[in-house]
Amino acid sequence: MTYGLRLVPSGPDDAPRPDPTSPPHQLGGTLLEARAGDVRAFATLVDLYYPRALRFALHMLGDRLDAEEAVQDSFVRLHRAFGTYREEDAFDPWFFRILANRCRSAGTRARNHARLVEYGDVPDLPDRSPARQHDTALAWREAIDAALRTLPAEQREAFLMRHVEALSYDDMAAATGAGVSALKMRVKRACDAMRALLSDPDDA
Amino acid sequence: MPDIPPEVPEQHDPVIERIADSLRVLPTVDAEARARVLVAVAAERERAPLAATQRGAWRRFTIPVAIAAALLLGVALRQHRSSRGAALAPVPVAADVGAATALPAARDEVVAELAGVAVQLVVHAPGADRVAVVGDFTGWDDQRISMTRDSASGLWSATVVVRPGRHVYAFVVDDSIWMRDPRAPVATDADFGRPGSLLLVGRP
Amino acid sequence: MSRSSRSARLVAALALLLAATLAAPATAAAQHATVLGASLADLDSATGAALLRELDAAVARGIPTAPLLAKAREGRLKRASGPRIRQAVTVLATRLDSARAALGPTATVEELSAGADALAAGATPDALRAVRTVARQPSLSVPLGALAQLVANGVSPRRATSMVVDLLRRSASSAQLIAFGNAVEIDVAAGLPADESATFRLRAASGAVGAADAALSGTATSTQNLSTPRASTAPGSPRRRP
Repeated sequence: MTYGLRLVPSGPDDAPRPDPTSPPHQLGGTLLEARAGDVRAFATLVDLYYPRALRFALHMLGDRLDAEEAVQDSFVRLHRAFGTYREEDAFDPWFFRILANRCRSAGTRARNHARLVEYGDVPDLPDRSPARQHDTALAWREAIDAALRTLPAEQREAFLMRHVEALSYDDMAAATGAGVSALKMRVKRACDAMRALLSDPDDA
Repeated sequence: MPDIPPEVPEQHDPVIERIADSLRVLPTVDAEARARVLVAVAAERERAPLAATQRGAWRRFTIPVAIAAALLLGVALRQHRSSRGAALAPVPVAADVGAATALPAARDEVVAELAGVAVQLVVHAPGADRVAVVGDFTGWDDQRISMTRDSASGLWSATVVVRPGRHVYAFVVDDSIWMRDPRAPVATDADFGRPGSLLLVGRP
Repeated sequence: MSRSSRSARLVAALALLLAATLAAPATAAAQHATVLGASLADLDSATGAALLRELDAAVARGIPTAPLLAKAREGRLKRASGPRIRQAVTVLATRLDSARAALGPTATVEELSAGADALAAGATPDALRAVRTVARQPSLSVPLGALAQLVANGVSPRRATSMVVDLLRRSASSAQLIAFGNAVEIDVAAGLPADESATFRLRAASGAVGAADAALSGTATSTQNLSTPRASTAPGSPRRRP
């Protein structure tokens, strides 16, 4: 079987891919099959949740390798615990409970390297090049990352779950084991801190 | 699972919204990291066969449905596999729509992510239908970088983004012909005895 | 239990048995495809199973699987035989183990791969340890890559190690290390003896590092520019459209 000309980018799987940016609404069948041991369905589940999981872990841990490891661990644990998942439960809080747990364990392991330097990077003075100074979008993202770093882990976690993952407070309670009012307090404190660090003084 | 209507945010806060918008951007996913997840789960699967509750899930399907599904699946998979097998004999098939492709080929974004140096590769192959670039920077995946043909000259070209340093690459013509770059030094291949071409890239 | 439901269950059991027999090898192939990816989906089942076991063992030992997958894909692409692919993957896994032992548990995938390359070229685990001890940059993959290049091109492992360590002690940048390794490789491809090239290029690299130090301390002298050869006729330089 030959391919002829293929347009790039393309992939071998021509089936429509789920939109990774929105929470999946039609999970039911995939979940059931994955829970029953269907390898392909589990792989679809990974496809659906990996980007969001990585996003959360990256913001929690700040390190790519740590984040990927936490996400990988989460999927393994998900697989291990899958028998206990009931289809009448919401999947997202169940999944994020596992992921948040892994991130908490990872966060307590200190890593020596401040950041991962890729092969070929000149490790000194990455921020002083004129091009980067003019990239305000990049500067903004870095400022946000730095501000997130200053938050205590519980607040960071609550902030991300609420404002990035758009979980309800009930779902967050299921995912963290904390009470709704405690979670609201954490989110409020996180917002106050982020606002203080990141407000443009020109904002009204 | 019933649709939970999104809760009204505590207060509309433009600073928090801006922050959340930035944090919501999904990270690029490293295909290898995602593959590692499936490998880890496969390892887990081999260590711990399906839990009783998961096996129970199968039994919930009515038996006639199970028979029909199993028969159809078994026969279909068998036929599918043998037809792929025949086509494979002389020609390596890089991918197959319809097989269990849980790991789609990485797209050019993965190459771009390496934050390296752009290098243009050119080869003369007027009779070819398809020419791909393969190398350590594509993970030896021949679906990542397809070259573009200039019909008038019979030249194929592609711009690859690689990290500074030493790389080995080659061209694959029509999915079946391994071709070194005639103008590049030969890179020996101790593992498989099929030498490639050397690409040395300095930092600009 | 009624007779009809008993015979229905018998039929069901036979049918399932039949289906299982038909499906078993294909399901294994489907599982390989899912875990190994499309480009390795067509490995014969013995090689696929062996590869899965190797990957499984790698995961258990905490060594990265990405380089192993890439090596298997390389072999498949080059149409190597199953046993040859398995051997290459096994050998690489062993080298990654050694690299890990020498570079420590916090080594990244890149560093381990570079370490494995250096070992493959002929460097010793002690050389890897020496680089790890002396290097000040957060990533070891560039100095290890330079070491691999020197040894692969014929510089003796001991000399190559001492050269790289020397440059690292003088705080050579990644760019300088890459340029050094590339320059030696180009020289050797052009016919120069490895040791001569390495000595010459080391002197130039040391000069560049020394000049950089001097510039930082305010006593700048002339800077010798050790950059990648730019001549479009030199082999290995970035391609230009003809």
